[in-house]
Amino acid sequence: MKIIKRNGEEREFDIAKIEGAISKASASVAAADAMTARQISRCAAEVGDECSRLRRAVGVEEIQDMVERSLMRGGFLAVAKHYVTYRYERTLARKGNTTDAKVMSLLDSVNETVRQENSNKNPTVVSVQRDYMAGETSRDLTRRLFLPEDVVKAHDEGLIHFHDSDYYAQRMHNCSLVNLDDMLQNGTVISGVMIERPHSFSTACNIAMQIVAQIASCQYGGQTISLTHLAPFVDVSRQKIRKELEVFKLSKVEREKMVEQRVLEEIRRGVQTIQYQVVTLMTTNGQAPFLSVFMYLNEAKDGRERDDLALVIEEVLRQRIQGVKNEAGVWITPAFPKLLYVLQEDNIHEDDRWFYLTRLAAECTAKRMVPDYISEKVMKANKIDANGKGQCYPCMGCRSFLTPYVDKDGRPKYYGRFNQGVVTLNLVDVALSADHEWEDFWMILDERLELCHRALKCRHERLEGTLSDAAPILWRHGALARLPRGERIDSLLHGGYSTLSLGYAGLWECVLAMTGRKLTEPEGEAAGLEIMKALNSYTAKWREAEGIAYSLYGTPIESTTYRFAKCLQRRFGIVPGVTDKSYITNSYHVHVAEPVDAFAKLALEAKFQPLSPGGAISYVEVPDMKGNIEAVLAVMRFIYDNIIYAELNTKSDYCQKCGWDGEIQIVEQDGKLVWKCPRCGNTDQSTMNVARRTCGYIGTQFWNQGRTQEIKERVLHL
Amino acid sequence: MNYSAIKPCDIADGTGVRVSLFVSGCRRHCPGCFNSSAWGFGAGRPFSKGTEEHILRLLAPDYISGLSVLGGEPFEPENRAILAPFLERVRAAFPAKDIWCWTGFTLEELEADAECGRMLDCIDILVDGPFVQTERDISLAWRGSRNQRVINLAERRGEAPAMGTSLLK
Repeated sequence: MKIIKRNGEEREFDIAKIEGAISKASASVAAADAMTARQISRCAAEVGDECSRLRRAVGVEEIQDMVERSLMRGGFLAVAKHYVTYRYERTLARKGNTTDAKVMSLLDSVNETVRQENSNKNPTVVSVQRDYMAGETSRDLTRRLFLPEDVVKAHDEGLIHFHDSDYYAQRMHNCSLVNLDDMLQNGTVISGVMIERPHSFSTACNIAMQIVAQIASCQYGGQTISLTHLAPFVDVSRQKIRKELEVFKLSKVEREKMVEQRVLEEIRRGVQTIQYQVVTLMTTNGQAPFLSVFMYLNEAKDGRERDDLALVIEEVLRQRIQGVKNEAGVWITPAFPKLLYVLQEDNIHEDDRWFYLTRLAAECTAKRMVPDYISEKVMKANKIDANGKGQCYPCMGCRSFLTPYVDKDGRPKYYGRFNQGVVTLNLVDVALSADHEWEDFWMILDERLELCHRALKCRHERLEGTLSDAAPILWRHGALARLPRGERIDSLLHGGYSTLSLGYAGLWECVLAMTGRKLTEPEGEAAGLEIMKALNSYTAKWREAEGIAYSLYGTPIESTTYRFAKCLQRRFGIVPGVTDKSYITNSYHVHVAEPVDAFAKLALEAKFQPLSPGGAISYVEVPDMKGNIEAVLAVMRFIYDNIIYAELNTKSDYCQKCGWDGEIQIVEQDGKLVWKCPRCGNTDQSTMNVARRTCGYIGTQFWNQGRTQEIKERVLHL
Repeated sequence: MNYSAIKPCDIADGTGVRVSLFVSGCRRHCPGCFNSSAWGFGAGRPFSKGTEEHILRLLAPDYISGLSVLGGEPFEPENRAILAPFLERVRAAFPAKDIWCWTGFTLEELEADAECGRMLDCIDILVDGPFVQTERDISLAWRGSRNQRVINLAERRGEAPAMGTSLLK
């Protein structure tokens, strides 16, 4: 059994330490109130039992709470009092300096919390450590100087989560849709160097990646670029190649054949640049850029441009199916860029013109877990702008969606817009605090939302007054705007240009706690929908009052899921089905262990997605499907007809010993979970490649036992 | 006839998402059989009119590409008597969906037996032959051992390829 120290370090549980602390407190009280050695060890044993029942690493503060409770229960009030006093004094002493110990544990690579926080960052690498050190300083400043005390307290107690405080000090925003079209067509400036309109497709791809790298260092969330913005440069290359070939005596037919051949070669080079640069770049945030690439045929002009876009999409999919080579030279599933494929009326049916691309996308999903799918039809029905027109556009990186917007000339605008940041409400805590009383529920919800609102305003106000010079690529050179030097970005923070996200987590457990029903049951669903509508009424009210685009967001709570679960256990103990796991369910999702088929799950979750306008994604967990692409297509057709945005968590692993490329399974061996090849029985992790999606991110580095357990517990939806 | 299981959303037994019916009763008893619990003719539950209706309802959604019949042994005489009219009913109700069937007999054996004709006429894809443990290979598509075959009966009859079968190699 492990415990987590205050500085994040993980240590073996040691009952002697607890006995020691109680002994100390007992020695300082009058002899009549002191405890016998047996009483002390019984108390300590009780705490030990309580810890092991939680089946996860327990924090020091939690253990101290247990000691207090155990002393009270045993009737040793005088000892308890001394224990509490001692604890309080130690807390005061620690307040003197909050960052030293954390930074030291980072440098010594012993900080387990950080190790598990972000699956894309490797905390043993020096550049990542630099980012984490800066993060600790920012967190410290945020807690002590920037945020009101009650917001910090609510965060610490797990009522809300104030995200990304490790970047908050620096006036950075979350995520964005890059206006690549403007930057490529009209030129941009990178690190003081002018970059003009490129003269070939591969150069355009190269510049795009330089832009992506710069942007990734100026914001902490994800970014999305559209292939539509690169597609016009295919014809730029074509014209150039045609001109080059004019010197040769060739028939027109021969020449055109040669031109198209070289165009395809050019596309291959450009697409390869994107794939390899994204996975090899390291930003100042200590990770590869979180990049998503949007593939939407209807976004391109009909004719040549769309045909060229189709060629680019095809190449992107083909290269992704192949994968990238790892250190050992084995083809593996890269985590980035994430691919977003739009299903539309002329690529979904077997005899459609663009169906071959959709089939290729299905093969790619089966092998590499991407692309994810957006339904043009359902999205347009749900994202309606001020002109009354339905719109289809990508999420920003992971799952954050902008809300519809038209500029002052009435034109729809999406690229160049961004999200200011997120504060997430723990819905489970609201429910357990209300203890089955709806009247209390709405009252507590109101209080907590007021707190979230103030925390969100802090985010907004922190960004206000930021000068365009803080991140020239974003604010001055086209990625998000073309403001003059020295101008404040404030106009972009108001009027709906950028969004501010109220996140929510744990609707499943919230509904179960309040109604005793599952979200998959009619009463549970009704309660869930009512809560979501209520949350939207708050964002609408704030939006109306302040002209800021507050929007409700299904947060991808990665490490926060554990923090919330821990806080809930501390505040409410173990409530069956609600706090008995070391995680809570993301957004409106159906619980991972709930047996439900893919179509029923998507149909149910489709009712919640329109109520999560600031962002959401639904997924289905499926086995290896490389041998049944028809079934992948059946799910994709269902997505097209029913839901805005969804993904399939497929399994495609690789055993380097026998070449097996289906699913590698988790089995229990000597009380430990290990990965095992079903064909040759190989259990050596260093000779197998396993990729799984956890909380929306593809990880390939294997996981700790807790997460491995969660992956093993996942119910297959097909 | 009894059946041991119905899977409403099966992707492991045939192309697309399918409804799978595992009938009970098989006299062959191949060593290493994946489903030996369905050998007994009394295993599972009776296949009633209600079961038929249930399966037809499960087949209705657009995302279901067809019915898979496994066992047990669908071609045991006891099972054949029930399955033949049922498969005809499925064919009539869902002409665009296909029917797959797994059997321990070879196609040649079944074709030699006039009693099997009605069922064969309804089946689009037949996976035939006994499971032979020494020929086991988990990387094979739709079959367990190398001696088994995936035979496109619909194509042999000269019908248009059933949904998804164009992907069969």
